[in-house]
Amino acid sequence: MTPLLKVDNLNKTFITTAGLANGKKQRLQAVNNLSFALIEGETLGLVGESGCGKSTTGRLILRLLEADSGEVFYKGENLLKISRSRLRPLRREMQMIFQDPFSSLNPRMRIGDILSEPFKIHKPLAATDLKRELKNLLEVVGLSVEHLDRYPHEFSGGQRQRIGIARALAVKPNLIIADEPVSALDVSIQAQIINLLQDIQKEFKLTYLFIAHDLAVVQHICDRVAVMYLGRIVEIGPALNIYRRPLHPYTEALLNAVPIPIPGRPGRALLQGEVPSPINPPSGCPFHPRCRYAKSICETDLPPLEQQSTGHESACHFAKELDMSR
Amino acid sequence: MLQVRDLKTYFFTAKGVVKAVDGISFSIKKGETLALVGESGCGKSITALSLLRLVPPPGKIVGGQIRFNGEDLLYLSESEMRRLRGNRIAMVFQEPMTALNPVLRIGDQISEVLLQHQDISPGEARDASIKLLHQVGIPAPEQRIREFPHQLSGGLRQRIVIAMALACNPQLLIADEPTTALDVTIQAQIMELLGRLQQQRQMATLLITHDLGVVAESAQQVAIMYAGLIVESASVAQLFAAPGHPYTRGLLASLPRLGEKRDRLSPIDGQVPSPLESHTGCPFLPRCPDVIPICSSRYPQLQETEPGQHVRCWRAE
Repeated sequence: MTPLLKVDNLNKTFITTAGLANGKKQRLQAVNNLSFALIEGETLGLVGESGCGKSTTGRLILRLLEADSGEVFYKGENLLKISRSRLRPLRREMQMIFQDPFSSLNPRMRIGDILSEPFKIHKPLAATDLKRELKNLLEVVGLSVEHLDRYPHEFSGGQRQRIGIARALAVKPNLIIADEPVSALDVSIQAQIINLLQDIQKEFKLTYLFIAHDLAVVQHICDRVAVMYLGRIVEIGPALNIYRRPLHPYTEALLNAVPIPIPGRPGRALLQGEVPSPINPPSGCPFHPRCRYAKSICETDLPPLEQQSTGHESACHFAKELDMSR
Repeated sequence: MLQVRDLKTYFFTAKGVVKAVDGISFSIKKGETLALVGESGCGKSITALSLLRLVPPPGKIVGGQIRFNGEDLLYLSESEMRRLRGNRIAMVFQEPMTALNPVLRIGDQISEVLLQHQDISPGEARDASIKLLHQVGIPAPEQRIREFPHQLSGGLRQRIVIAMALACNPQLLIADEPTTALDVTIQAQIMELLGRLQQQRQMATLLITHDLGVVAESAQQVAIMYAGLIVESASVAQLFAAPGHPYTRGLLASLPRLGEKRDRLSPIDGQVPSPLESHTGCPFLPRCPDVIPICSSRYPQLQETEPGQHVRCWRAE
């Protein structure tokens, strides 16, 4: 199976002076030799804590940020090498859904105008055809034609996210990069939007890169999950395998930290300390200072991301020996 | 310890009266955690601010009682309230940066709380601050007291805020979404810390949250709020085992769960109600899967369905 999207050795470093009184520049490696592939029609989850590089990865793929090095192949074409004019028609096929639907919708534009924009850019239509397309779009996302003349502030958070999804669908994309699409929503609404994302995936044969920090949501919606820590993928594999038998101690720690809505469960082993600064990452395995299984090799040698079982890779020296089943 | 009776907090806006909290009652015992759960706009944060009498205008507490150790806080003068806040009643907010002064050193901020409420010298306050930072798990507190809030991570800042809240040994702690802004591993650390400190000090805690996982792990009692009212209250064990209100059932059913693979989630239909809406019947009616005629004409009262479990629903038995 040829992947729809293939990311190879992607790197991105930011130069930062933040937090330094002397203004000295420091290098922050946000994305470090990242490689993964997306198969057509699947949903791959990208999870990790703030600053792990998951959102940066999404932006690098769409060239909203320029990578330092590496390759991103979409249908075999290297997105990072092609010209902006060649990129534009491909951008139509790759759309993004953002976390905060309010800040991604222009407050001074009516919904009808917001949803017409993608057509203007990618696919000019006659007025009657446009009207028909907009009506269809609204129906698909569970809104109605009366909403076209309203402004974003007149909608609830869930409805605004429906508008964001309609805008992404307008140009009939193949790939959708969704960056925390449900994390700003109330619990009862979150489930509505997750169901909607799954429905339109089936209907329009979409492929999703689903960036999120909520592990229960990611497990529910994703076929495969990649866990990131300090700019690297430390584990990638089928969603249920990852949750039932994680092969990296960081994945285990993340899962342990999720509060479960079942009272009276026994206490869990908690991860101590905080994520180290990406400006000065630890030697060897970046997770070793917080890892409860760490041995001396972990302090010196960076473990490569290696296949442990079919389709399940982990970057841990002891992935084969540790039993972290849940 | 704390007994709230029929508390009403309304906002008098240009668009009309918003009944943010419309007659809620609950109590918290010493050493107990009550979780107040609900979605945005349900009135849970306004409840917290009402307890401290910090409701911002145009909001006003228009009725009810807030009895703290037998004394009704609504009858205290502003200076008496000031002596209580940060002293016997303390609060931890969602975003620690809003509770910290960005231009004051950590040590000075904690000392300020101590000097405000206790008769001690600045040197004693400094020593007490170091001890507090140590108790909330901050490494190298002697150095940290000289730093500014922006030099710390979100998790460490929230620990500082907790240290400040605990400085004067409060009897009641109000924690409003204390971990919502934090990463999941840090959230787990902070909840573990709050639980341990509460055990040691036998504080009563009001935990405001939208996260039912946090409720299950950290509270003993729970009250579910919807549109300014409590629609169900019960022990945590009862609520999760046999939720009585259709809204509670809907919330539990809509959650994706770790280690379970379902084809589809079961959301609650419709939208979270706007606080501006007014209701004659049950405010949950437009989203309820189980409506009978009386639901649209009259609002049900909270009634005891099991010992210790109260449900506001015409269909509850």
